[in-house]
Amino acid sequence: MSPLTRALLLSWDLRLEILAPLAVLGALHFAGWLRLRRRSHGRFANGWRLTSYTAGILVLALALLSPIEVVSAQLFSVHMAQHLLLVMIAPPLLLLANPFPTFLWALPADLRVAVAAAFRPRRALTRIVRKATGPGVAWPLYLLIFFGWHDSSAYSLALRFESVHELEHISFLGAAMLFWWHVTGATPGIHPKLALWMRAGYVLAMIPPNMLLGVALSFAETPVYPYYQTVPRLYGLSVMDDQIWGGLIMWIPGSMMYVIAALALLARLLMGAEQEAGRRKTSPYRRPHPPVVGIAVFENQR
Amino acid sequence: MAGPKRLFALLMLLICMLSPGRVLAHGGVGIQHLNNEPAGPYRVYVWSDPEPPQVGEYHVIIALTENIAGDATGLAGGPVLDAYVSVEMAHQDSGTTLSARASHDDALNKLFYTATFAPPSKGIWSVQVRIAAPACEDGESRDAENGSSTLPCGLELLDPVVVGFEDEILPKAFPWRAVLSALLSVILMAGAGLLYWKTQPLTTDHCGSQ
Repeated sequence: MSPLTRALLLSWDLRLEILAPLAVLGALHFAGWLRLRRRSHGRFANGWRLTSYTAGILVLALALLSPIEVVSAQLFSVHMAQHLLLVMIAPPLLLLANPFPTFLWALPADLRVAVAAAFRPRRALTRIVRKATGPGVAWPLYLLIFFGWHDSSAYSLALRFESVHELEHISFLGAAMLFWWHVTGATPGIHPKLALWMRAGYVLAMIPPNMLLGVALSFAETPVYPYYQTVPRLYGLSVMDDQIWGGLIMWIPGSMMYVIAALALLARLLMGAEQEAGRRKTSPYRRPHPPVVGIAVFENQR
Repeated sequence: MAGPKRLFALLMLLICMLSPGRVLAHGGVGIQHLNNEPAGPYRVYVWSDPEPPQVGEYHVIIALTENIAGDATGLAGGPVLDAYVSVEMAHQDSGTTLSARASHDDALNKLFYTATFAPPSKGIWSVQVRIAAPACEDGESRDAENGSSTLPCGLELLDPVVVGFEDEILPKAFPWRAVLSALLSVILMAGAGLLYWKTQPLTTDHCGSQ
């Protein structure tokens, strides 16, 4: 291994403000998963959900604490890979685990009941959250935040000030969680559930703007982000070559993530999963929602 | 509940193991003073941190690349990781001098060299960065096996390269970042403790009753 690569691999940014929340979120989820698994005999807390959530936390750690975070200050292409991990890999992994009920089970019973009650359909909070986070808001918000932070001035500001950079990452993650929430259909289900074909369309509609940004960066004739002219270059990659690679990462693997998600949704549609879910809704023997199970148990014992 | 207990203990241990000094140290690169400055066989980049500079804490961060002859952009050379770099600070009014070796150990990005100071007084300080090539062993050639640079042997015989700049150190400001980080840590630990304590009786009762 070359000394350059060795030095890069040793450059970890183990910040407590990132590490502690990730550890707490992971521990809470695991505690809730254990309890829910015990109560539901493994029905609502199976191995793949734990694996998916843990993988999501590890991807976040990789993006924010590993050499990727450090090197992203020197290479635009690595920075784009970091953004891809933050908005296209970690959020779907976290949400596929359907973590909300699991988190509820990590809470004390009274708090669990209070949180679950806050999301009942007729509550004022639910109505406000429903309006503020619907698909019609989530999609343009995600687009706006993603495009907004890639504006030359905003991007330079984020590279100049660490606090702005952290704000950028938080807003990326928040907007992406909101966007992927509607794709995965994770709970709390406060919105009318989108049909699978609509969810596929919702994801596919993100490809053209994503490609547009990637193509614009790849084919720009001058450096879009002058910051990268003020740091040493690595592996002989010039500022322009680095910019081309960054644009290509956003364009091709970035778009591929949306295609994969849409294909998965269409596969589910073809297999009749939606019809099966509809049949369950009308069945008197439908499986209760995990937090409802918890509340019901708790309230019966009161 | 042995599993969650162990998990909780592990989590607390993890948080306590992180020394606040490491975590609250210079996070970003800081203010750039020299950008791609040719100096002998090197191209030099220098930053200082924190921003703004304050009494009691001052970091000088240096990056070196090879200065390739005929390269107009100055960006063609690879990083130089094995130079001997030292930094000297001199207070212009009092003449107080401070010196430290810049190394990769204290740097977040291990390609950079960092020197840490605790300047005792505010005012204008002149900062000098001295760069010397390390000596080659007998018969050794410095190539990709020995370092990222491809600088030839024999440079250690040359005088060290010196670059410098001036910076104004301001009076120490209230450490908001440190206080907020400490507060966040305390809230997280208290929250985790409270949650653990609150979930205990319920689990015992319910598990027992079902």
